[in-house]
Amino acid sequence: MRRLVPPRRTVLAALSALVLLAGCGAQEPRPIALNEDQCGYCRMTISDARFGGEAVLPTGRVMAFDAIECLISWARSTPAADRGALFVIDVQHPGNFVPAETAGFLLGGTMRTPMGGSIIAFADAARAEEQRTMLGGQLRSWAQLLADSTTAVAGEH
Amino acid sequence: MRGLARQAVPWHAGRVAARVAARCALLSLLVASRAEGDDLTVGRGGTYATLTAALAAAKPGDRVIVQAGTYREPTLVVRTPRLVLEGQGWPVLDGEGQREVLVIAADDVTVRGFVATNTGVSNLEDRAGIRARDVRNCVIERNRLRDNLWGIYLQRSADCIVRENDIEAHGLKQTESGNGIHLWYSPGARVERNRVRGHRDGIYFEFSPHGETRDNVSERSQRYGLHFMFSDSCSYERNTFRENNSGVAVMYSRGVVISANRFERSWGSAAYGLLLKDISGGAVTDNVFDRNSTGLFVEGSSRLEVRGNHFTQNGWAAKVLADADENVFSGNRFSGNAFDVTTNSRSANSTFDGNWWDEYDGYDLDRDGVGDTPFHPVRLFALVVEQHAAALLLLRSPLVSILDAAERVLPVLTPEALVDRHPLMRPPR
Repeated sequence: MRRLVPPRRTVLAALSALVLLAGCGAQEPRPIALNEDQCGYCRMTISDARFGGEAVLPTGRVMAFDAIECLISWARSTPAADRGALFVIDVQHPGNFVPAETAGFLLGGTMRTPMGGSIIAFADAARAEEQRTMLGGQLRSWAQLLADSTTAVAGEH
Repeated sequence: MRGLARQAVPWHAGRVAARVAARCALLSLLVASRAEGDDLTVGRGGTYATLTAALAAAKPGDRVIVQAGTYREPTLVVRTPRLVLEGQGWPVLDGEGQREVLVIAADDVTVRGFVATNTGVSNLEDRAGIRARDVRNCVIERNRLRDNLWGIYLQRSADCIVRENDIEAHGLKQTESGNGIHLWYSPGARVERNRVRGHRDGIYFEFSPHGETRDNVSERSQRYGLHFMFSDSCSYERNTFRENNSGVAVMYSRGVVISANRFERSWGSAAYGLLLKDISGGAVTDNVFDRNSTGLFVEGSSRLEVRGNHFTQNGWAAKVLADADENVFSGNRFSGNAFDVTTNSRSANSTFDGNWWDEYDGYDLDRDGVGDTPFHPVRLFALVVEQHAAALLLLRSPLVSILDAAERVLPVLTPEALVDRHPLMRPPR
């Protein structure tokens, strides 16, 4: 029995390394298939590459969202541990993802978004501030958006 | 155009009479407005060479008559109230791929008889063929819209009429298409007898309550034939939605009436004849759901009356999720569907009573037209597929048939509440 212990440890270590690696691999967002993928919150078919985001769940499953409003509403109704990694689309580079935590947001500007909440994302706060003179709205971080109850999709429950 | 609209819609005598009455009323209105203003003619043999010049000269109540020809002018903006813009012989207003074509920016303006085309594509602006902006009582009728980013766009405009327009977009990339008829914060609109093809959403009501949408044909949309969001107390009747990529979606609204429409041929994993999401109170009556992947999908919706519909040859006739409650299905006809009803949980809170099911093989000893044994419309296999989509491969296998039969005799897994205790022996109507 004793002799079996070290190999078992090795196997465990190898296994956990594998799991970790697999986990790392799965933390990447995948491209959204326009007019095919459904929003994980409102079920709308996603049709505009400028908005939305993704959640890469701890299980490796990827959920797509048509609007940042929907990502916020979904995140609020999901325990933090189950959310996984959250990404938003950079409105200046349609189809490109940036981590929600480091992105900069404009709330309530002139740009219309799929759920009517006028929330758009930029690579970082500096880029968002740059565009604010043209697009209007207020600068927000991801944490602020999550905490702000006015950012909900109407009908969130 | 009018021929087209007529073809698409079966008329009956009462409606024709009503229509004639409406025409007379309209005519008298026209006569009144003409008595008030002058006629300004634009184009060959007219007083003005450009529409821009005529619009600048027009006074309230005037009529601007535009002769056939192609007009390439900066975006035309109508700033004079009670103006009638009328094209004769289909004059073409061309945006040359550069700009919005026509904007209504005054109350009580009518635009009819134009071809508005070629706005081109922009990532920053929502360019429209014809836009109404912050006005009341506009009438946009009998126009042709061709290859515009957005077709007709009502923006914060109340009580407008959009009718008998023919709207088509093609050749646009899917990321670069707007909607055929778009309403944004535009209450009290009437959208009637239009035909829309190839836009992102054929007709879209956003934050636009109290609208009426009738007798339209919306087909081959890149996404939805009709899309309603945050628009309470709207009705849509006698429309045909056909081969739209994702079908029709009605979301986040109250008191919606959906009656006598046809939902046809929406195929795909995320395609629904009609998707109802977060709708409370309303009626879905006398519609036909024909050859869709899922005919009717109901999520998070409550107190809906679903009556007198015909579900035929769909993959799933009706998917009613467990979070939908107090919805009542009665007097509907289910025929030739792979699955009649499915749900995602044992605790279903919607009621099925007095429907006709082609799968029902019970009997009626007392001959009262109602089957003496209940019908369980949710096949056990439907629940399996709901959990494991790949199991669909086994749809026609004998094992699955045995499972389904056993479950019908002795229901253990299928939702108890989803039982029709009064299945009809003959199809209704």
